[in-house]
Amino acid sequence: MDIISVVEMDHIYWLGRYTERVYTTILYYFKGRDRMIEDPEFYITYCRDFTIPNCYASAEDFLLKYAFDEENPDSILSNLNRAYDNAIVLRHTLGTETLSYMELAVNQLKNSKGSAVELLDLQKVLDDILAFWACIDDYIDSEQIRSVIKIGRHLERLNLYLRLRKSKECMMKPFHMLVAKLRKGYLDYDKDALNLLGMNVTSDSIDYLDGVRVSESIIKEKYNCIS
Amino acid sequence: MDKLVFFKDEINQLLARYGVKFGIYKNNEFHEQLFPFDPIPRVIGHEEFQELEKGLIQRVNALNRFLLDIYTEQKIVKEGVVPEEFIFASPGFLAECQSIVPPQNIFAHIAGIDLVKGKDGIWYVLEDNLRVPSGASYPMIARDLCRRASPNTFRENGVEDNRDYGALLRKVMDDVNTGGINVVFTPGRYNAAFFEHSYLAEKTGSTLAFPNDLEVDGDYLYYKTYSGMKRRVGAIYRRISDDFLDPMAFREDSLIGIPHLMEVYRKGNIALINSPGNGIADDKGIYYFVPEMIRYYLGEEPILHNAPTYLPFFEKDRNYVLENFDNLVIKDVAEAGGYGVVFGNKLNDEEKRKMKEKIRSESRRFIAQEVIDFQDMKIMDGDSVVERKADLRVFVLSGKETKVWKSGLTRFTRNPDSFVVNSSQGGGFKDTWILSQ
Repeated sequence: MDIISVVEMDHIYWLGRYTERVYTTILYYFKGRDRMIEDPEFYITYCRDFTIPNCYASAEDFLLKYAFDEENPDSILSNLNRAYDNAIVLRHTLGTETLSYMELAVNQLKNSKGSAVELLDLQKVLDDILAFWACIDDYIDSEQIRSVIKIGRHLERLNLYLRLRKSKECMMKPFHMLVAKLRKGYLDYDKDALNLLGMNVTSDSIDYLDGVRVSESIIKEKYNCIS
Repeated sequence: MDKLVFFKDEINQLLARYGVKFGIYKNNEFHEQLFPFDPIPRVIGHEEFQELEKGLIQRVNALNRFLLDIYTEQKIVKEGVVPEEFIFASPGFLAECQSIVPPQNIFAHIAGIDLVKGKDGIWYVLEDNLRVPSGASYPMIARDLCRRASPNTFRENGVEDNRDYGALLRKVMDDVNTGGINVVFTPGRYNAAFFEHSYLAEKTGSTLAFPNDLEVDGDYLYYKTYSGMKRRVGAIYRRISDDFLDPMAFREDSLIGIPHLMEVYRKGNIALINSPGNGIADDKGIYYFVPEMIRYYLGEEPILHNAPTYLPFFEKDRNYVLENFDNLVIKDVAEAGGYGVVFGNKLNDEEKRKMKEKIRSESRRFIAQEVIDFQDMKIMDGDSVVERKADLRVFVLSGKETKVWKSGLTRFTRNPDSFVVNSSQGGGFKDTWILSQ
């Protein structure tokens, strides 16, 4: 059993969630920006889909602030900063080489503000996050740590997909991957909540709001090991 | 060496990529910033370093003997080599440490000795840092990145590899470990040196512990894991100051300390790296006596030079200080970090009168030193090469053996009129090369 404290486990889990949030958000942001070429007001739908407050005065304001505004807790940069905050205290666990991709992602996103090719720059942030995840798989010996990061990632992806009202087919992969990682027994979780979520996302009429609520209750607050 | 200058920007990009930063508080807000790196290394010749190494080992061994003596028999005081006024009234002396003998009799496991090289070619010790000296991680990672940026530079120059600091530190931890895991204890992410804490935990294979991760249970210290299991800790490289270490023994308002840690330490069940109470040996007043300590404990002549220092506490020295006031730098022993330091010739008549009066009435409070004309170092300023003041912190590690790390942290000022090399004041750092032959 690895020597990991409760607080450290919390950082590992939330590192998975926030990196996934940034990754999936940027992918969806690409689609949103594409839609906004013909329909500038699409940002209103975008905010509603993500269930984030529409605090933007106009499409231009959204374009200016959504990706880079550190003061806005829902911006991509704020979420990446939270991923960084969880990663930076895990250097001894992740390793300096792995952590360097998180540094690159943050530096890249901050330097992209005002860029004439903003979306191409954001593509590099995605590349850095993918490299960060690859390093975790490649360099970290502990299966516990790798699994808990993935639990965070799969749960976050499922949560976002529910918010975005994705189809049953889209839900299947993250749900099954989440179940597989939870069954390894490294985190205590609510089996009833997981079953409820499973029944919901595999049904033909998904209750998205309930799915979001239940997905947030699967991981218990204290990260007790089952075994 | 010239090739490294050519890769200056690439090296700094790598340092940014690897997060080589330090924290700083401005207007009560925490900011992280990159530690500016200058690619022109300080180069120390093989033979010159061998001589320095002997002197540093000698000095640190004597300081460790002094600490053991002070907290046990106090023979050096009883025999009048060091006046008691410099011991028991010093804020560095901790009565709570009396009679505690740490594992292997080592108090200063990691000593950061600050040196400058005079224009006369002589190395002078400016300060002994025996509490929580920091800075080794910066040249260690910088070297790794410089070798990547310009392998040819290192093919053409025979330089001692300094990337073994983690292994040296690990050996010290293992040497004094009382049974259990090794831990690097950090006050948290918002500490100025957090990069170093986490990097050294990684490089020593230790567990990085934050406040509340550690607790005393019975006679031992434990690391609390998320599974509910406790792992005994045998050695703790603590990166917090004595004051905050144990609220039951020191500052009771410390929220980052470990209650009852001193009881475990007193029972010999934990190695504290460095030991609490070391402040008595790196007090500015005690610095004056280090050459005498070397003679007293080791029966040897000191190899390294102190900066010429006067203690107004002694009448002869006091008279000299008052007569040569304009040529001296006066230091308040209670201050640190560059505070409480005045150059005699920079004061106006009224300030001089007041300072001289203080020296007469509170003679124990001050030391005076000759101003050393030390060598400037070349640094890059944009594309130009300029000369700036720089010091050198050498790290001496003591476990079963005392070893000098074959490198060091060279800090420089970027301000042409300043002697202050601290990173918090805008200073940068260089790698320190020890030539292998």
